[in-house]
Amino acid sequence: MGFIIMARNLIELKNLTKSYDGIKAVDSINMSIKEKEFVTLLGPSGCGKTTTLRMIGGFEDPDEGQILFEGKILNNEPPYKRNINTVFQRYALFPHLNVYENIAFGLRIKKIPNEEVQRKVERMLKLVDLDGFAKRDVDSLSGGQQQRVAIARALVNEPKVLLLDEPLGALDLKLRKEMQIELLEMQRSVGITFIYVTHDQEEALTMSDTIVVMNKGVIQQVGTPQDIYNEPVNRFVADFIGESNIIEANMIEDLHVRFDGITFECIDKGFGVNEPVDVVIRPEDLVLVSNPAEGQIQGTVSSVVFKGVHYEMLVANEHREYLVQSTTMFPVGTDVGLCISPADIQVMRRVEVTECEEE
Amino acid sequence: MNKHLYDHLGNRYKRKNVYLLELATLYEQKTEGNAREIQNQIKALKRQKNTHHYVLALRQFKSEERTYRKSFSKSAKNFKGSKFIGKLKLQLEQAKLDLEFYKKYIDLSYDAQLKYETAKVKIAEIPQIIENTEEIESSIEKTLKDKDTWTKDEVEKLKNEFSMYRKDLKDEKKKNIVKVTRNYKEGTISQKAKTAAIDELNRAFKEKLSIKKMESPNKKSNATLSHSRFDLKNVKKKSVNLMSDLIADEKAKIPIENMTNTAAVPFLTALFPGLGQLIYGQKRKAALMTLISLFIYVIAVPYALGYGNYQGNGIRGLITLKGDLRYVSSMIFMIEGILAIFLLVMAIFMIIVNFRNLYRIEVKKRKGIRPNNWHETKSKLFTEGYPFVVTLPAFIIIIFVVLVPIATTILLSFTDRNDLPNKTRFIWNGFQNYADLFAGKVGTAAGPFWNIFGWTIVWTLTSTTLAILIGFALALLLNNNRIKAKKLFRSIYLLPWAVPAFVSILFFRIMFGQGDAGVLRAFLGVDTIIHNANLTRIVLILLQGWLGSAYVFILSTGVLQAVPEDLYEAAYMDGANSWKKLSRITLPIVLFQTMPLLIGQYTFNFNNFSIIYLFNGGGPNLIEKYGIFAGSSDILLSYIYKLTMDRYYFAMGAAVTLVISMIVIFITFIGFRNTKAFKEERL
Repeated sequence: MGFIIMARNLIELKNLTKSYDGIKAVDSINMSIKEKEFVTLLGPSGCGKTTTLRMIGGFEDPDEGQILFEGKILNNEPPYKRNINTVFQRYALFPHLNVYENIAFGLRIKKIPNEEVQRKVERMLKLVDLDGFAKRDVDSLSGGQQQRVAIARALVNEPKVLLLDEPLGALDLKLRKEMQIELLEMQRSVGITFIYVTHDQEEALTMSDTIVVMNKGVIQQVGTPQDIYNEPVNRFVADFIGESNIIEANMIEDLHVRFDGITFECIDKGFGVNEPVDVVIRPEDLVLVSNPAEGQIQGTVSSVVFKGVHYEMLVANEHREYLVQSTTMFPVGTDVGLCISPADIQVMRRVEVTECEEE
Repeated sequence: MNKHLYDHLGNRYKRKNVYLLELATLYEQKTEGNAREIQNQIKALKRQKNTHHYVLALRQFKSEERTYRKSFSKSAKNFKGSKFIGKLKLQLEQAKLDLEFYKKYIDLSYDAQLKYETAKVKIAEIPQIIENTEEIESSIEKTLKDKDTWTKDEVEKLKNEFSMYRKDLKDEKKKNIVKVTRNYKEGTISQKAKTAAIDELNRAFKEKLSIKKMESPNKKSNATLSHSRFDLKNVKKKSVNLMSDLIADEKAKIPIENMTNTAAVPFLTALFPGLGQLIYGQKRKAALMTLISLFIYVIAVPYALGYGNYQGNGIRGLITLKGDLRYVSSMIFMIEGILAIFLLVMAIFMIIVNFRNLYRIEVKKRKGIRPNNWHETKSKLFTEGYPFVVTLPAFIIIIFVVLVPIATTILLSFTDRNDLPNKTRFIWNGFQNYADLFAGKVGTAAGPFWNIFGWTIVWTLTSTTLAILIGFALALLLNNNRIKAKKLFRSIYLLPWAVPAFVSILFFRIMFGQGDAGVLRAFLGVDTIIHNANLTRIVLILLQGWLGSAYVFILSTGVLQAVPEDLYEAAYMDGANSWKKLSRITLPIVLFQTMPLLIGQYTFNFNNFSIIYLFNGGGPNLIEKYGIFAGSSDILLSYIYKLTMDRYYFAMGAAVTLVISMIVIFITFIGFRNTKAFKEERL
C-alpha cells in the first residue's frame, strides 16, 4: 500500500444548494479546499459566492448537500462551534468598544482569564501591525486600520479557516494593493486556510493559490491563477478574467480551428469534427506587423488608447474588431497585419452562458 | 530714555530733537563709575532747558506756526462748486500753503514732517477727487437742466403721445381677446387655453406699457439721476477713505517725540473717559468717550446713590430694604439695588477699559509711536471691534433678563419675612433660611424639606428608570422580526406621548378620585387611593413610568434599527448567545447614543411639577408630619410653588430654588461630562 503525500482536504462541499424565494443562489456546488490554501471565490455580484461563504461560516443553512470539515459533517453546527471565523465586508467592529476590547470580545465571551486575553490580544496587535492602538476608539481609525482590527478579531480565536467577504472593497486603490500583500503575508505567517470572496479579478489573480470562478450559483472553473488566465474553459471565464478577444469558431479537426475565413493551427484536440467552439486570444498575444501581408489576419487600426506601459489598439477586419496590446503605436487608419502563434489560441467548448447582472 | 525712536513695526529712527538727544546720550553714558558726574550733567542740561538752542528753535517754530495758522484761517474764502468740493478746494489750498511753510522745518521736528507729508498726499490726491466728483456732479446738473428745459407744451405732448400709445395698445389687446373668445366658442381651443391666452395678452399689454414708460425721457432722466447720485456718494466715500489711508500710512512712518511728560495722564484722567484722549490729541475719539463719562456720572452713579430710582433707593435701599413709604415692597428696593450694582460694575468696567486704552497709548508714545488718528480709530472699531459692537446689545439684554433675576433670587434667599403682618416686607436674615432648611426645623416653612427632598430623589430615580426600562423593553420587543403588526403596536406605545400629558393625568385623577367621581371605587369597590400617601406615590411612579416610556421607546427604536446586523453575526460567531448579544452589544450601543437624553429625562422628572400638582395637588396632606406647607407627595418644585404662591414665603422658596439648582447643575454636569458622546463633542 503506497501513500501519496499531499495536503489533506480541510473543507469539502458536496452538492451544496441554497435558494431564496425559489431562485437558486447556489446550485449544487462541489469543491474541496486544502489546508493552508488561499482560495478565492470570484464572480460578479449576485453569483452566489457570498452565499457559499455564509454557508461555510454557518450563517445560512444549506437547502441540500453537505459541508464537511476534516471529514465531519458541519451542517448543523452553530458558527461558534466551527473552527472557522469571518471578516465581514464592513468590518462589523463594535463601536462602543476600543480596539483592545474589540479583539478580546470572543475571548471574553469564552471567559478566558485576563492574563491570557492580554497575551493573545497583544500578539494579534503585533501581527496586524497595530501596536500602540489598543486604547484607541475604533471610530478614530482609518479604513485600513479598521480592516486590520477586524482581521485581528477573527484570528484571535485561532480558527483553522478564515473567511473574508470582500474585505478590501471599501478601501481606495492604493491601500487595497498594500493590504493585498499584507493579507498574503499574514496568511503565510499564521499558516491557516483563507477563503476569500471578491469580484475583483485582479485581486484574485494576485493573491490566490486557487481561484473558483462562479456564475449564477454554478462553479465555472477551478484552477490556479495561471490556469484560469491562460486556459479559460468557457466564454464566461475568459470574459470575466482579464481582457480578451472571444471569437466564435469552428473546430475543423484536431489541431485546426477556423475563424474569420482562415484556418489556424492550434494545440487543442479532442473536439468533434466541425464542432462549433469559442476561441480566446489575449490582447497581448496578438503581434502587430506593419506589413499587412506578413500577418495571418489583415486589418485597419480603428482606435488607439495609451495605457501607460503599452498602447491598446482596436484592429478591424470585415468580421470583427480585435483588441491588441502593443508597445509600438500604429496611428488610426494604418493597415496592419496580426500574427498569432498556435499556443496562444485557446479553444473552448461552447456553453450557453447568460451573465449575472452586475450590481 | 532712548537715543532712537521706533514705529509700530520696530523700525528705528534718529531723534530730531537735539535737546532730547543730548539727554538720551547722557543717560546712555551713565555707568556705575560715573553715575554722579553724569547725573550732574543731566541736571545742568535740564536746568538750561529754557535757553537750549534747540528748544528755542522749536519755540520759534511753534510761534510762527501759530501766526501762520491765524493768517490762513483769515484767508479762507468761498470756493465755487458744491459744499463737498468747496471743502476739498479749501483743503487743497491749505495743503499747498502747508507744504511751503512746513518744508522749512522738516529737519527741525517730526511734527513738521508729518504736516509736510500729509500736505503732499493731499496735493497729490485732492485734484483727482475733485475731478471725479465734478464729472458726476456736472452730469447730474445736465440731466436736471434738460428736465427743466421742457416747456409745458412739450410735457403735455409727451403725455398725449403716451396716452395715444396706450389707447392703441388697448384696442389691439381687445381685438385679440375677441379673437381668442371666438376661437373658444367655435371649439378650436379649450377653456384652459382661452384663460391662459387672455392672461398672456394682459401681461404683454402691461409689459409693453411699462417699457414705453421707461422710454419716456422724463422717466429715463429720473433713473439716470438716481444712478448718478448713488455713484457720487460712493466715489466721495471711497476716494476720501483712500486719501485717509495714505495719510495714515505716512503717519505710521513718522515717529513722535515727547517734550512734555505725559506719563501721569492715564492715571489722572482714568475716572473721566474722554479727557485723556483729548490730551493725546484724539479729539473725536474723546467726544465718543465722553458719552461713557456721561453714562457714568449722569446715569450709573446717581442711580446707585438713589436718584432717579422708581421707588427704591439705590444701593442704600439694598441694605435697608425699606424706605419712607410704607406700602413699597421690599422687593423693589432689592431689585433696584441690584440694578444699581450692575450699573456701577459696568461703569467700573468701562473705566478700566478706558485706563488700559490710555496706558497703551502712553507706552507706545514713549517709544515713538503716534496715537491713532480718527480715521484709524474708526476703521479699527469697525474691523477688530466689530464682534464686540455687535454682541454688546445682546450682552446688555442678558444682564437685565438673566443676571438680574438670578441675582435677585440669590439675595432673596438671604432674607426673611419675619412673620410680619405685611407679606411684602422683609429683612436681611443671613444664612438662617439655609440653616433652617438643612436642620428641617419643625413648624417652619423649612419643616418638610428633608422629607420632600427624600421623596423627590426616590421619585426621580424610580419613575425615570421605570420609564427607561419599559420604553427600552418595548423597543426591543418590536425590533424582533418575528413580531407581526408592528405599526399597530408602535402606535399604541406612542399614545402616552401623543396624548397631552395634562389630559392623561387628569383622567387618572378622576379615576382614582374619591366619592362618586372615583371610577375605580365605583367599579372595584377599592377604597380611594389618593388618601393614602404610599399608594399615591406608587401610582404616581407607575403613571410617570408609563407616560415617559414613549419617549424612551422612540429613542431606542431609532438607535436599535441603526445597529448593523453584521455586528450581531460577528458576536454570534464568537459564541455570544442572545443574552450576551443584548448585554454586550445592544445595551451599550443604545445607552452610549442616548445617554445625554436619558440624563435629560432624570432632570425632567426631578422638576416634573405638572404630574404632581395635577394628580393630587401634592396630597394627601399629613399635617403631623409635613406641617401646613406641603403634602406627602410634593416634590421640591411643587413645594416651592406652594411656599411662594400660596403662602408668600418668597425667601424660603428662593433658598429651596437655589438648593435645587445646585443639585441639578451639579448632577447634569457630572453626568454629561462622563458620557462618551459629550467627550467626543458630538453634542
